[in-house]
Amino acid sequence: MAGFILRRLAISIPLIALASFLVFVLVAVSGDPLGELRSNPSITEAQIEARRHELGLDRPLMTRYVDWATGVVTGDFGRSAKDNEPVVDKLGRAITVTLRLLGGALSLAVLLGVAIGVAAALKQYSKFDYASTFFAFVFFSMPVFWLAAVLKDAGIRINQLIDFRLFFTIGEKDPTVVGGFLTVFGDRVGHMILPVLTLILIQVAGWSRYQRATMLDVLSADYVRTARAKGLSPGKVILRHTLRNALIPIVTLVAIDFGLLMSGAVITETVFAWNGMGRLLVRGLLDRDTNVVQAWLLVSAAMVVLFNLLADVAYGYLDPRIRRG
Amino acid sequence: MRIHGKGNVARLFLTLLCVALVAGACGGDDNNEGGEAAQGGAEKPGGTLVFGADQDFAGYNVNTVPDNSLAAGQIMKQVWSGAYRVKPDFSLEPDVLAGEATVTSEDPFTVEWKIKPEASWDDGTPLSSDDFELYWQMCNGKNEAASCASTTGFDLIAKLDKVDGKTVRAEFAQPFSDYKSLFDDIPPSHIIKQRSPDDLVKGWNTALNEDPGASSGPFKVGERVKGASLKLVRNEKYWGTKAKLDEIIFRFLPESTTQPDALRNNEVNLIYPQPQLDQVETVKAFPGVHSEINFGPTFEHLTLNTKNEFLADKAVRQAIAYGVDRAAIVARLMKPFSDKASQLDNRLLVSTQKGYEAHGQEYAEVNVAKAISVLEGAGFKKGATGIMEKGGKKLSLRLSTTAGNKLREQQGVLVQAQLKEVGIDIRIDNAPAEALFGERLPSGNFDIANFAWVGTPFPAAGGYQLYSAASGSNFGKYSNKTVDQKLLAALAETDEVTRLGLLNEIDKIMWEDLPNIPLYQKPTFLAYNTKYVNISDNTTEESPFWNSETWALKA
Repeated sequence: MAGFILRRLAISIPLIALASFLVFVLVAVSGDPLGELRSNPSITEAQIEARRHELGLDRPLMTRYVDWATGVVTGDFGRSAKDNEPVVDKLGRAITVTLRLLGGALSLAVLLGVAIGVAAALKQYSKFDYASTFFAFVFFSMPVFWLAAVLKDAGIRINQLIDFRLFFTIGEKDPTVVGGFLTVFGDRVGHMILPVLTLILIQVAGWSRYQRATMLDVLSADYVRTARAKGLSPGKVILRHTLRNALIPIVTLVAIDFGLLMSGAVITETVFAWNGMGRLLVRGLLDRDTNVVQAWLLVSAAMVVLFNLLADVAYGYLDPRIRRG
Repeated sequence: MRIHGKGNVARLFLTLLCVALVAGACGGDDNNEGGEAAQGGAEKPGGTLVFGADQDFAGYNVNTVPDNSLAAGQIMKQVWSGAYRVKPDFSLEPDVLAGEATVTSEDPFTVEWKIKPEASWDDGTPLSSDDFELYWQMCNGKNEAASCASTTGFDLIAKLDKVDGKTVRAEFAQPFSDYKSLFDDIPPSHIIKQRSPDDLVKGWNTALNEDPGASSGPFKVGERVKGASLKLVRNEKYWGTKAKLDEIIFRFLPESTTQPDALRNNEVNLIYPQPQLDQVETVKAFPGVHSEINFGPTFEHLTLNTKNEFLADKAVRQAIAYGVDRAAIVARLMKPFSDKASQLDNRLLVSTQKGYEAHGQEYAEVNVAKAISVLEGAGFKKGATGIMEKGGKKLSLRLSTTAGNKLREQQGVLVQAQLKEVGIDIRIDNAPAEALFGERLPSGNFDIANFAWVGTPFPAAGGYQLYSAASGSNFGKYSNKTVDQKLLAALAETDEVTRLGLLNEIDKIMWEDLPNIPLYQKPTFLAYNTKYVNISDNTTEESPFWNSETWALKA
């Protein structure tokens, strides 16, 4: 297994390096990060050039890329062209916020997707199955940004109805909240409800359908019929013989969809004004801030690679044949 | 197929749920009128106001180039006092000054500033002539390493004397009438000297990046979460009128579409975004929220490149002025915001400014026939395509504006259609803001450009910056010696009435020359929760925070 992991990492590194170079060039040539200064007639050309020199923007593109790449190896992601803050500080803040959002969304989406899919498969053609199918198609068809806006509006209307602010529409926390652990925890959770709901509704829609189909396949397998014929209880048949096999394909799907979840998080963070990786990327692109965009790319690519590795490890746990192979 | 009773219930439930979802998606207003503006009345001490800010900021020294941003300006206006405060009517009120800055000598032109004896920093250090001196030293343009967002005026001071701890006297190399524009948002020199004793320039540039050090205003900086929020807390040591609120919290929401919902949900209490028509209409319907549209100093205009072969001909510029229906543009794009919207007929003063006069009345209303006649008089003839031609060349011009700005793109389409009737072919050639301001305008790579200039309480300096022949911001390369002379005279004229008279004379000449065509003043949009009192708009760079120390909760 260790050798397998190392091989996967070895393949990923040149891929990420190539992607980083392409993104660097594209962002660098897409516009001037100092363009905003030019619209201010009080700021002279000499001042703009001085700022350009200070940020290193007057150096050749390849030199800038090589400097950035060598800095990354030592943990220096450079500074933001917008506000001169070290990019690693921005990243640190953004990652913790996004991990909170993705962690909550992913865990709940997997649990709910699997549970609903399994239940729908076990009770095929029941009212629950029809209802879950209907809602899956409804939410699967919704674009993330639209669903986010609808949930925001619904949340505000509910708040007005109950005269209590249960749902929050901006930020990952309320700067006016002070208090003990429970108060702060309650505030954080309150801010998570709508964004997490936005992400999980669409993911659960897709994953539950997939899980249902996989479960139905496995339920119709000969060995399952044999297990029932041997007199095993339905619970044991499902938990010991069916579920583990039915989970293998969903692990692949979750790993692949992690990238989609991250892109959904970009939109969700923008709509709900969360100060996470998504907002960092959007601001970096709008400001033509190459160092910020590069850092985002590296971290996101690393997270996708890590997730795929975790998926492979999970296979090994679920199916001993893969482990021994 | 027979339908079961329970199936009916399920279907009814699903139908109702769909209807609820769709209704939620369709939105719809609450059919409630917005609240009345809350001015005066019984007040409750203390409390917090949360402001939904358009953008985050970098460092605190707004006087440096990297930190000279809208957000930093809104924050630091409340933390660092300046010589003057600009009121909503563009008039100036002494802030840290004990009285008006006085001209003590006309030749050499010398101005004296006396600081209030009680003006001080919250650490007890008096606000003194040292602070004025350092400001001038960093912004006089003599030290290239010192970053200064505007050296205008400071670079004319030949000598600055500290008469005593509370009085400075500056001798100018030439008369400068806008001396009241100097020493805005004064940074604490003693903090800069403490943090960077061996390199004051470095201290000025960077020592105040992470915190502003000291406060001389009604609020001081509290906790900051970069990218998310900043707290301003009441400065208990403020030498002026103590703030009534305990805190003002800035929440940074650059995604302006999130601001109305945040206001509706009481997560923010005040917003001041760039107005978008759908947002304005939505916010107007919020219960318990007051909103208002005002017209600020920023004005849209068309700059004509006088180096273009056609636009070099005054007749073509006149035809454009006759042919562009400014009233129709205002009616289509600005009237939906407010009935008070109107076209602007002066390029040096805005309509809300003292001394404003409307000029260029012959171009006030569209006159297609006159436009055509002027072109024909200049030797143009309509070709088979309906476009004017001269010497075998079609009268075809590019119109450029900032791509992605919906309002400007609509404007461009309107102008194109209007000038087509005159026989002028307009090709839309928009560019991203960075390309337009960074390359095209400075290099003269444009024919007609549509963008905005910001009016100022100091129109002489502003006019000189925009229209003098030598100015880098004179993108159309307009040159008129008389105008240049009058601009210099206005810069030097200390009598306000005379100065305004000069500026109006300059504008009349420019309506003859037509280097650009002013269109209209852009609106500002202010919305706040009516549980707060004493909030009012200030469309200058002071923004609505100009009187934040008077804001309070309604009792």
